Amino acid sequence: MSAERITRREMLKRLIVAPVGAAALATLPVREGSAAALQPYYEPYFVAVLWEGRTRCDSLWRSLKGDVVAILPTVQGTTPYDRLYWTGYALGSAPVNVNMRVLARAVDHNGVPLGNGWRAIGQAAIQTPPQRWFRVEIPEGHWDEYRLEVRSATPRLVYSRVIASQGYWKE
Amino acid sequence: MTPKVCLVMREFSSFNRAWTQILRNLGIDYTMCVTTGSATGASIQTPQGVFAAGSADLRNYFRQFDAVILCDNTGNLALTSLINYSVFWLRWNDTEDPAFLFFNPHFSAAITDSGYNSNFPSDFPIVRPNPSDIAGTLYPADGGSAGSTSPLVAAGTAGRGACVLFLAENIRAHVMTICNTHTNNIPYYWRLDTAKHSALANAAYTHRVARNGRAGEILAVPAPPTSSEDTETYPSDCVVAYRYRNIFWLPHAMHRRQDAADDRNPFLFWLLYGLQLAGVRPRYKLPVQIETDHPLQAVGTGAPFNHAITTQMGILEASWDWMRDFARRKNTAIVNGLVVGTKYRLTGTVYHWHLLYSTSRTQAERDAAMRVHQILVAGHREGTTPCGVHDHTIGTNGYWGGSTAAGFVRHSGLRYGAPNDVPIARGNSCVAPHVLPAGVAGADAQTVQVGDTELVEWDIPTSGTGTTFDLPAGSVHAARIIIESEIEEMLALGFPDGYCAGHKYTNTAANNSGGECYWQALKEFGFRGVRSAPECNAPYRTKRVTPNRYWNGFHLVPPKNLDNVDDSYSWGLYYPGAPAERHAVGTYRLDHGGDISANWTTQPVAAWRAYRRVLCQLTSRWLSTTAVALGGAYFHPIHCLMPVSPSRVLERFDGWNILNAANQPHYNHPVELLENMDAVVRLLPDVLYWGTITDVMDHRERVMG
Amino acid sequence: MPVRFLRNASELADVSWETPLPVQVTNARPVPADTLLVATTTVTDANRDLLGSTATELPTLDGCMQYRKLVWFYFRSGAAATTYRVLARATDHNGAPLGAGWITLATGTLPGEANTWGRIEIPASGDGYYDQYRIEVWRTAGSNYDLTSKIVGVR
Repeated sequence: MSAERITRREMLKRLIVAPVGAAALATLPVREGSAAALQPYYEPYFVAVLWEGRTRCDSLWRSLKGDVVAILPTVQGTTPYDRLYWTGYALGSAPVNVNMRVLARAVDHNGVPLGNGWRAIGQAAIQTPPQRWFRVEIPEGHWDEYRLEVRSATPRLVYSRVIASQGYWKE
Repeated sequence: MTPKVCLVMREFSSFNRAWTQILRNLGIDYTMCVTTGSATGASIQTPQGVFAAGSADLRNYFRQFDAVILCDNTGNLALTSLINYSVFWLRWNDTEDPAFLFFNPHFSAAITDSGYNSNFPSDFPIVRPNPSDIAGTLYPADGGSAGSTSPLVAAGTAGRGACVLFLAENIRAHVMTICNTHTNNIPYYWRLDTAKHSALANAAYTHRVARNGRAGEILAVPAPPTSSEDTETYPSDCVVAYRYRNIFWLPHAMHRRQDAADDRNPFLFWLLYGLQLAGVRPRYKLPVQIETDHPLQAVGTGAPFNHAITTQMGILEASWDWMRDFARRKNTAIVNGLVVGTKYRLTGTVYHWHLLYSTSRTQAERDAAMRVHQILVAGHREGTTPCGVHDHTIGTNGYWGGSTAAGFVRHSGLRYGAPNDVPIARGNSCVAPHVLPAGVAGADAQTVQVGDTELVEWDIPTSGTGTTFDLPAGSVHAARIIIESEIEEMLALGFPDGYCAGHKYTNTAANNSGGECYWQALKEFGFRGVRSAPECNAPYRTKRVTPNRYWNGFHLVPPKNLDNVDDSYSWGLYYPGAPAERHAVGTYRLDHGGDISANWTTQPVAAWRAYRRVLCQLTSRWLSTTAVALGGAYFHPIHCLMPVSPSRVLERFDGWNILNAANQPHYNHPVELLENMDAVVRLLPDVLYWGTITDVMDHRERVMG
Repeated sequence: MPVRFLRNASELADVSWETPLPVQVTNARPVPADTLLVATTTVTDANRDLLGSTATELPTLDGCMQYRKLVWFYFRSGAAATTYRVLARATDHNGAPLGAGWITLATGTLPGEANTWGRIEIPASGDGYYDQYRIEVWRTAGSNYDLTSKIVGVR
């Protein structure tokens, strides 16, 4: 097995500082967010941060950018990436009950979506106790655009980051 | 200023991607907005938020654009709701508001939405169509006959005809025009409320798109006939395009369908005209050019025309003289695929080499052919009629049309001709040089490169010293022999090259560009590109290219045929009793409700109707490939020219006043087609220009990522 | 004056062929995935490829050797039961297929209801690197409908 070249910065991206609860995303495989657990399965050679910021959650499904415009993506130009990783933390007082969902679509070479709506990749909930942290792996890569949405019964902030990797799975 | 438009649509699944492809080709930025419904209560989803259709927020959002384009249309006047939300925009007429472009707009009296009807401007001068009173609110167009399908779905065939007079420009042009249509499959033009128009035309109005400074302007009307034979006339209150303040009310521009961008969009003239009217200045203008295949050829001398070979040559001579002059005046180049290979491989007497040199042709025939040939050679050298290789003589047809070109006859001399013993197929062993062990390659080893792939080949089948052998078609070795043979013939004909002079291009026989090995060989011989169908080696059909394929710097330009016939040579616009594929009306399915065939011999207007439809259909095919596919439109000269009067070759169509040898209306296809496209180019100076295939290839590199 | 740099945090080294100046790529961009095809296909009961051809030797995509895999995205407007078939083969350096016919990579029922999105990886597992692919669809029940597809090549 060849040694993986990794910078210090890249290493830090993979370490999860606080204990992480694994959100069980419907239809998606989820594992604990641990760098040690990741390495035997996947060796990305390129990782990019697609988005990072705070989202004010309320009872409406909002994109991480805060909009309720259903036709707008959260991130676009994501065609090269094999997998996306969405990691975040829900602020505010307990109990935490944040719903999230991941949508995706493809566009043509002129940026026009192939059809209406989105493909629903999965949906999950973060609840306390015990966790405020969440980590979602989005295994369906190479979609051109993703819309990541959150909502919460009680208003709160969700601070999260979306990274994407390009590489290949070793069998 | 950056050109920028907003496209408003109901949903992506009914969005015709030709809209965005054309805008991309023109270098116009666009934003897509999707409505939440069709009623006046609908909201518009924009990147900056969801805004109510009549809100100040939306109005402010729109003000960043040069134009707002409504993409939805219908062929059913009874529909009660389609773009009702747009009624508020009819009153957004300040100087800061953008132009609004409505194409085949739905403003029917059948709309019951009270919000729509109460907000519809009372001074709007076009009568709202009423499906219950079509005769009182619309004018039937193009003979008023019903087609078998909606006029809106016309694509490469089944179009309707129109001759439109553009008033400010004072230009007549044949462009496919449908203002509205209903489920009865009849196209209609609009009826003007002349009193309301008069008030608007006398009211001062300031907006950058109000070129005459008035609130209302008739942009275009059906052109008055030029002959007493043509009884398709329209009342004085009939209009086809109108400007109401900053609102443009225009005919149908794009069929509403889920479709990838392709060139089956015959109405897009109105999109281009609308963009120009709205002052959207494209970053790029689109080059217009045309090609011919077989510039010198003869066809049958039998009925119905019985044109002798010398007569056919005379027709070609006059037409080429005219086309060469047209190209000179318009600063374009008519590139030509000249049939080669017949010096060696194809016996017969109708192709280029034989017409000039075969002793089975009479001296008079050869002399007549030589006069045509000399125009082509002179035009090649001056840049007006450049010629390139076009070979129907290889095996089945065109490059790699079959697995083997049986009994291939090659040229003599140069590098790949007889008696040189040259490779004719891939070596039985081929290994990449960086992994080839030393001492393994055979004595005949040579390095071959196709694209990025470099291999050392050995154990290579060769030709021997003879001229005739079976040539396996699928290798760069075969391609080199074939192409050099073609170029040798071009040189022997007196051309200085075989690739259209500085354009380094040719249009390929059967639109077969072969595949990678042929593209490699063409590049080696200096070509920059060729014309190529997606099935690029038919009928063998083992290779395929996409319309915007660009292979290692080599262009593959998609074709678009503009012949007025589908089989052999044309018998004219229409010919009673002939198979449909022998005349233009049949080929393009233009006989709507039999209104040409049933009336051809009894109503002279039927000939004018055919003329309008043929010109509209073919101009739209040409414009479609120019604006969407950036392709190469072409026709076969003698096949299309047989219906001309031999004594009045260059005269314009004049119905039954000028007859051809079969006593049918005279029609000169290249003259009519080029003159009509010239009218379109003159109407669209911001969008189009007469260019060359080099301009097309340059632009493909610019916009086709 | 030679150019020097700090190697291993403690050792000064001259820039030379053996000790080149270390560089770190910033703002690195991924190798793009290439859009290979965008097409709208009318799915009928006849076996056709995505570009509408019934010619069995005709590829849908050609010159694909550099791609580790293809990803086929689609939006289907109808629910008719549909079979898809993915065929592939290799060519020589001239572009000529090594032989007639194809390898069948996958065949199955096209997932999704009317007005839904779908995604199929080609090949479903392992690596591709085939030169030519032919992707066919045909319905086995119901009515014709439009299938809009996009195929992306991933290195």
